[in-house]
Amino acid sequence: MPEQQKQPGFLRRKGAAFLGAALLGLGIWQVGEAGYIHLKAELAQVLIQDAWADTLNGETEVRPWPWADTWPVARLQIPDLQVDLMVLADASGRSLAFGPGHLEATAAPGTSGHSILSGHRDTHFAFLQKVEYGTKIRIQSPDGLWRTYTTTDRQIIDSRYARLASGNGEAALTLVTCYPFDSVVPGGPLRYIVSAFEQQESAWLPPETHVDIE
Amino acid sequence: MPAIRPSDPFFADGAMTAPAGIIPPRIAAGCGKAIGIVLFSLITAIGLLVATLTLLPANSFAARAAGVPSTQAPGQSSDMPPMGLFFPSGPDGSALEAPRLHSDVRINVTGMIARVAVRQRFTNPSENWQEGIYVFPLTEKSAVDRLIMTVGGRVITGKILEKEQAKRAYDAAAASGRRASLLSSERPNVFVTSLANIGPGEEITIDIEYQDSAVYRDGIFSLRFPMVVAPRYTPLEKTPQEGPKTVKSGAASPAIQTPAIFKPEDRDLFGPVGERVNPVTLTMRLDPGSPLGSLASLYHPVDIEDLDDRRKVITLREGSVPANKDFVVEWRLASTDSPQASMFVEDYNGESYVMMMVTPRSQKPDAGNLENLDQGPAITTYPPRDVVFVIDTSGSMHGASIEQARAALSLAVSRLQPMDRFNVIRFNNETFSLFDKIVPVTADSLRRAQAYVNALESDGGTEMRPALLEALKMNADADAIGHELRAENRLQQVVFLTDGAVGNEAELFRLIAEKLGSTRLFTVGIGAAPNSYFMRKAAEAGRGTFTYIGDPNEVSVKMSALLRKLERPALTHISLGWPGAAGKRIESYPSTIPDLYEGDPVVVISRITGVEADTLSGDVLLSGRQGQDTWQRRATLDRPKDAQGIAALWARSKFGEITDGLFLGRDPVAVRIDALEVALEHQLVTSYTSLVAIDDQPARPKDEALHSLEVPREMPEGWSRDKVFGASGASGPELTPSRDPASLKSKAMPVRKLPASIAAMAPSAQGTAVQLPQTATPATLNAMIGAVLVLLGALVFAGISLSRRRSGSHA
Repeated sequence: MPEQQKQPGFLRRKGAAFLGAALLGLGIWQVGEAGYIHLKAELAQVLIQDAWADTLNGETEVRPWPWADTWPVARLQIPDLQVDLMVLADASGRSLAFGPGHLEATAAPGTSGHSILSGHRDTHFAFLQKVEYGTKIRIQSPDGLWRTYTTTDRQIIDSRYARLASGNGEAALTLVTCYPFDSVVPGGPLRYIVSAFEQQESAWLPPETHVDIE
Repeated sequence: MPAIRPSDPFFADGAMTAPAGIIPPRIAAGCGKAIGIVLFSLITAIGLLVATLTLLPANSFAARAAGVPSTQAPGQSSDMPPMGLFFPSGPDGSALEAPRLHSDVRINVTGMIARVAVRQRFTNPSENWQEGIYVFPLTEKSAVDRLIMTVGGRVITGKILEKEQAKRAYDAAAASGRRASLLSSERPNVFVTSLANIGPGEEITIDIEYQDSAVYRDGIFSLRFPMVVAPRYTPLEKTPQEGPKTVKSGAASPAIQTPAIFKPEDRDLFGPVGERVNPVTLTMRLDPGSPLGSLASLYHPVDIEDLDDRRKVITLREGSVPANKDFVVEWRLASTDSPQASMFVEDYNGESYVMMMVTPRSQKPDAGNLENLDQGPAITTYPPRDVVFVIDTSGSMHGASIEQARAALSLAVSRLQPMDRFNVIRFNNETFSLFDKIVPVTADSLRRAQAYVNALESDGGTEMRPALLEALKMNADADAIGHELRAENRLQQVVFLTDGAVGNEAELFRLIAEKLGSTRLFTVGIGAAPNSYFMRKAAEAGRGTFTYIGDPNEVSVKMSALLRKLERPALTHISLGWPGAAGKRIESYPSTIPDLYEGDPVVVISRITGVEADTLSGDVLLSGRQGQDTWQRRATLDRPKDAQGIAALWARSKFGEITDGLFLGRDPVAVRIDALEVALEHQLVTSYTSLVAIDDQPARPKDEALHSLEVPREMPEGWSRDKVFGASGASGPELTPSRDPASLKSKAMPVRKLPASIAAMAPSAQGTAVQLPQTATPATLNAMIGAVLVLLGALVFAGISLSRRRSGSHA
């Protein structure tokens, strides 16, 4: 009789063990995936940093690892927020996994034009929500020169209507990431934008004056 | 992951640890739920990293990004049409003209100044989201200073900002895809603004306001409103006598290649022929300041309502309106023998702005009298004059210039009258005068002067200062010469003929301002490329006028006009006497009241600080001298206070005087600060400021944005739907839904080519669409799912062990 009672309980436990193992396995996989995304983002930056050093030494299109299909084009630093990032040559989904990307249609970062950099809101560009008016952003171009930009605007836009201003030759920098920052599900049309212009003091406007275009 | 950051001085102090945002707490949170599991997963991840760096072509999020709906902005075009709203998304880069639902024009004329408000409503009959470019022609000197655009509940307003600031705001907004447009004063002839993101079937309302000014010529005021569909290149200059001839010449402008499809003559006003669906209402309130002599609309049938003897309301009669005709109203003041003064008051921000306008004696409607240029001043009621002629004989005047100057001077000398006194000074790098002082006109002195003038040759450099000084001094000393009339009862004039090729302008302006006294300086520009700026400003400083003679054939006509002014100044020494109540702080521009000459009204605007217009009362005493008589007028301040645009005009005058300071040697930074203050306070578009129009609303909430893309908006139901503007009582009649809504659904919009120049002026229309990549990873999602799964798995095992223990104890 106990034999008969034990058998179904054993089977039940065995099935449950399988289920539990499957759940655990899937969970591990998911968490690993999440960890992997962040790990990749961080590890790649280290490799890209070496590539950037080579770039500064005169090489061009230095690939951070042999099979990479992107290369660093600029270095971005924000002293106030202790940010130091290598900017990659394109902003495809593949490249963005490793670092912020430069939108190829825009001016090269660190030159006297309007360049747009894009980065993941939860990895490289997570710091964007801490950027404030007046925050200084430095960009190093491959020739080793630094340009300092001052943040003049932050806003949320709908990416479906995004247009690139032809600009007036001024050195301008726009950092883009997805919005809202804490949304769980990726996707959606909203973007968070930080606009910065190369530092130019205006004699007749107090520095704290900024254009409120909300 | 504390990254190694070699050889970077910026990080050399070691103060920097791993950036907080790069290894986010989410990972820790995810890992904390199953510590061992996470460690294991990280090790796996490291292994996987090397193995699969290439095998991640499209991460899951990238694939998802591809699925995000994306509305590319409509295609750009480099060519677009003239007035109205255009969608640059037509075939082959042409533009589609948005159907005009309604246009409402309100013009308030106060004296000579006109405040024009235009409200136009358009619709987007297509099924696409559109970008629109709004084009409105303006007359030369006006600038749009108010702008409101309404699209589907979005309100976009124009703001006047310091130029640099405006540019930045514009750039930032345009880059971010918001609707923005930038308007600066550098483009005075046409107003262009762009408007993106117009949904299918949406109505667009555009309000603009600008200041304009009536043209005064030969006693007739005329004001023009560019209602035409024709290209804006229509010459705006026209004289009433030859009106119909010139008005239609616009379409033939060589500057623009108008395609054959576009024939303004074939179109009715505001709509295709045969489709009277675009009502236009126009209301003009006219307050000329003095009783009217006559009033007429040249090309359009109007109804005129009298408010009182001088104030009129002119309404465009309903019905079809002729195409390619500007709306032109002309009026004439009641005929008088002496100058007329009128007063207008506007309240702006609690301060009173008072405009005084003095119009010269009305012309007798005797055309022969006007045209007969050789007619001498036979009537001797004109006061005697002391005239010093100064002629530039420097090398730069060589050739045709010196001949023109000789001819002009010879004419001027021949018109001198027996009571006059005169002298002739010539200068190059030295200064010579014909007589050592001013001499009376005699047969002998005239003969000597003519011989002197005819012998003038050009040579040498240009030292204008001594000559100018000498001329002014001669006039000042003239009083010492015994004569039955004291100098102050005479008109003292300096006529200065030059090409103005000087470098020390500022110094000369100062000299004129200091030494002018009661003398008036009249400059005559000679030659193909005179320094008009210098001469205009010099004449302003010298309280005279500037005459430009560009062609030898013009010498007689232009000099005669000038000499008429010299001989018959209508009113001099004008001054204002304020009633005690208003005698607070009064700031008037122009700060020196110019003399009134035949053909030029004088306008002086004063601001009375701290006094509201409603509390003003009493009379202002205007006095001046008309010849040897005293002229006085009282003008009451108790007038209706519905004048518009006076404050803006005051600010413009003030701005002009401030920026003139640049030429008097003021510090440019100080000038800029002062000028900006005026421009920003009064919202002027100037050389230092721009009008930038930016969407007032923040970006739409996420859900709403998606919604508006997926669900096409319904077609407009009729006028009553417009909650924002339709309710205004003043525009009542056109609100009746009399039109067939079906016609709106037609997608047959006229196709136009817009001139490239206009397209270039709509900057945001030029911006290229930018695809901003999807920039979120599924890491958070993964971590959360993973955590839940791990938790569930753990629960299952916990359940197993629990049940085993229970069954074990049971056994």
